[in-house]
Parts: sequence; structure tokens; C-alpha cells
Amino acid sequence: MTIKQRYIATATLVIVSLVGSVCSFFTINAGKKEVYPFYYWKLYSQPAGWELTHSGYRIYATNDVTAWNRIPNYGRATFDRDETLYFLNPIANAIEEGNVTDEDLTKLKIWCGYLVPEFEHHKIVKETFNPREIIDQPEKFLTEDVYVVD
Amino acid sequence: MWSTKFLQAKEGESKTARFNQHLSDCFNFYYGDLMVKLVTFGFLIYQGILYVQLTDRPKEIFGPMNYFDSLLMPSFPATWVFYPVLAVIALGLYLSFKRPKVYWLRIGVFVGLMWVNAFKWSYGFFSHVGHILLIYHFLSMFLNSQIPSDEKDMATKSRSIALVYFGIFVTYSMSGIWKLLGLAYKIVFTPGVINWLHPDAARVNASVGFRDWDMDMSAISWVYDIPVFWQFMVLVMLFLQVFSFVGAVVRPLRLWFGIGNILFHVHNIIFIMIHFYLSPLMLLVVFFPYAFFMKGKLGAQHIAVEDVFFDKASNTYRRVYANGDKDEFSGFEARRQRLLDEKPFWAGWLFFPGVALVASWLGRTSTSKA
Repeated sequence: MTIKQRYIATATLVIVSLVGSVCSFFTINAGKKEVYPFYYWKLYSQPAGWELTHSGYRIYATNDVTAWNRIPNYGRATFDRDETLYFLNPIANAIEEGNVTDEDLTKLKIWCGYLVPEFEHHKIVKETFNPREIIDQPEKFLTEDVYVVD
Repeated sequence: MWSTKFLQAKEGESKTARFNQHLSDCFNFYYGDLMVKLVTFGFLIYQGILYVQLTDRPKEIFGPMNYFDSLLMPSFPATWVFYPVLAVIALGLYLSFKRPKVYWLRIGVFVGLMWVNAFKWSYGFFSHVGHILLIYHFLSMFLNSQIPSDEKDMATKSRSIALVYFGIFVTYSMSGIWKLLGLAYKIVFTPGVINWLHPDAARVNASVGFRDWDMDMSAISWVYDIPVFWQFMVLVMLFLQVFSFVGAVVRPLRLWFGIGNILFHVHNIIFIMIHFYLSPLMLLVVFFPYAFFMKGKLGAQHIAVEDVFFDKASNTYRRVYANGDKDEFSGFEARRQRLLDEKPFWAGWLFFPGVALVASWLGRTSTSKA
């Protein structure tokens, strides 16, 4: 390969990247997967919590269904904090939007049993809070059951 | 269309100046590429350790997240597949260093890395934290890291290098443009709510980040009481991100956009609990000014500057090279080229987009007053 050919090939790759990223924008907006996984950079286009009300999902677990324990998002050796959220959020969102698949629900059940084995029953709870207030009042949030896993 | 003449000579720049720039581009790329290989080797070791952790997870929850992954890694890889593949990629890295002309070795390494990357991100979410590593290997797969001996080849190669840099920087530009659009939209259509320039924007944004991790933020929440600072930083960051792509073509800015984006990542790690480690490390090794710190290694090819003259009356700056060739600049360009020789590190600031424009405007008003 001559240096000129290498240049042309590199320029082609850059164009492919840009086109791929534009395509990813459309496939994601259409609810499909990314076609080109590195370029879609719509992150934090607003500050998180800008509406002054923000929601997050947590696992609640218990052996006795009359009193549930909130399982905080702490890092585990095989599931760190981000991985925990990344796993839970898409499935919980799908449940709320009513388009969750049976496959996802099976995954969720296996996952809850794996992550929180010390309790028999698990449910997914949506917590809604004001990001300004939660800093000083970590207990001040509303809860809403999203899905009882088992 | 392929002979697009970006990275053209500046007015007053001599052939020798161009030659030196191409030489240091190729030199920087050679060492940058070597360092990327070392980082990649570390990445492979990390994946080897990660495999042990991830085998503990139930196999049923594994599932590919995008079209590449469905193709490359439909289910959790067996140990006897995973480790030999890691070893083959590591061997490919080494061979591509030993035989830099063989482009298919680099293509092989890239495909291998795509495969390895699919492995961690098949649990409900495909993260982009390793994107710069992958983009670098993707965009540079046809490049030979060795410094060409021919002058013309060196010029072509330095354009190829600029393209790779462009591909990396443009991801930051896109991210910045989305924020800019989001901000403009909020200001125009919903002026009352918290946008990125609101005094509380940094605080609520951080609060959500900390809450996602169930971490207590009250100990550092005082930093968000500092007035104006965060809004100012948002503007600085927006500027740095949106214009990052300029760093590909304006050489003195490569370092600064590199540093700017590294600081952005470090800020996110400390203040918002958004942890990207590989990306800032990649920015560091790719945009590190090796030629500047290793002048001795630049070799006999580099043509030294013999003498410089600055004429204050006509505001002209002249550089005379050992081979007799001369650069001659006037006006604001003369000043920033002079600073580039005197304080090569800080001079980059004068090359940020808009600075020349402001300077020429200031120059005009001051001369009209006189």
C-alpha cells in the first residue's frame, strides 16, 4: 500500500464513522440499536435533574412481604454501581412503558436473585426526589412499585 | 477530491517550516502509536481479570447490545476461547509493532478489540467508556507508524494523522454541539427552567450523579455554592468541546484540546461520578507532544532555526533556518509565531478559534485611535 492509498483509506474510514454516527442517531430514535457504536454522543444535553424532580430505580427485597428493605446501589465485586444501574434501568423503563419482553423479565428475576441472594422476595421500586433537597435530606423521596419480581 | 489541501501553508511559512511540522507530526504519531499499543496491552490484561469476575454472573443475563455484538459474540465466551483470543490479539499488537507496514495486522487487532469490548457490554447497556481506544484502532488501521523518509510522503502522512485526530476530537465536538443545542432550546422555549447556565445546574446535575450511586454529597456540596464559577466553567467546557475538532488541523492546539478534554473527564470523575478512565488516558498518550520533549531523538532530519528577528516598527517576525530558508510573518501572526518560539507551551492559547479575529479587531481600533 502506498502512502497516498493509506491516506485515501483513512479518509474513507473517517467518512464511514461520520455517516455511521448519523445513522445511529436515527436508529436509536426509532427505538432500535446503534449501527455504529462509537459516535453517538448525545450526553447530558441538559443538566441531569433539571426538572427538579428525578427518578431512579432500586431493588427492594425481603423475606417477609409486609416489610421491604431498600437495597442501596453499592459496588459489588462482579457488578459495580454503574453496571447495576445500566442493567436495571432499561428493563424498568420498558416495564413502565408496557413494552417489556418475557425474556427481559426472566433476566430481571435471575439477576435480582443473583445480586441480592440474602432475601427471597424482590421488587423494583421507582424513587422520585428533588435533586436540590436530596443532598441534605437523603430520606426525602417518594416510592412507587414498578414490578414485583418474585 | 482526495487531494483536499487542508493543513495548507500559512502565509509567510517556508518549505522548511512545513517540513519540520510534518516531521514532528510523524514523530509524535510514531511514539503515540507505541504508547497506545502499551495501553492496549494493559487493556487486554484488564479484560483477562474481568473475565474471572464476569464468569461469576449467571449466563442467562448475557445478551448482545448492538449489531456488531450479535455477530461477534452472541453468547458468553468459553474460557478456552476467551484467553487464546486475548493472547492472539496481544501477539497481533506486538507483530504490528515489529512489522508496521502490514496493515492487515492492524485490522486484525481492531476486530479483536471489538470482540473483547463486546464482552463487558452485553449486560443491558453498551457503554462508550472505551470508545477512544476503539476509534483510534479503527481510524489508524491503514497507517504505518514509521516515519517516512521521503518529504512528500511525510506531508501525505501528516494529513492522514490529522484525519485520525479529527475522528477522535469530533466525538467531543458532537457532544458539545448537543449541549449547545440543548441549551439554546431551553433558553428559547422554556426560559424558566434549569439549563446549563443556571446557577444551580452543576449542583442538581451532581446531585443526581451522587444519588445514582447512593453516595452522600453533603461533604462537597459547598463547592457548588461558589458563585459564577460553574457557569463560567460550563462556557469554557462548551467552547473546548464544540471546537475540539479544530485541534486536528491547528497543531499548537492539539495539546490544549487534549488537556481540556482530559480535565473535563477528571472533573466528571470527581464531581459527577461519571467514571471514564480509559478515554483520558488515551487522550494523554495520543496527544502528548513527544517531539517537543524528545528533541534530541528527532534526528538529523530536523532543520534547526538558526536565528530570529522581530521588527517592532513594522510588526514583522522572521525565522531563519540552518539551510537558509526563511519564514516571515506580519501583524498578529508575527506575535503569536514569536511566542511559539519563546514559550511553545503557552503559545497554543493564541491559536484558539476567535483569538486572531479579536486581535485583528483590537489592532484596528487601536491604530484608528492613533
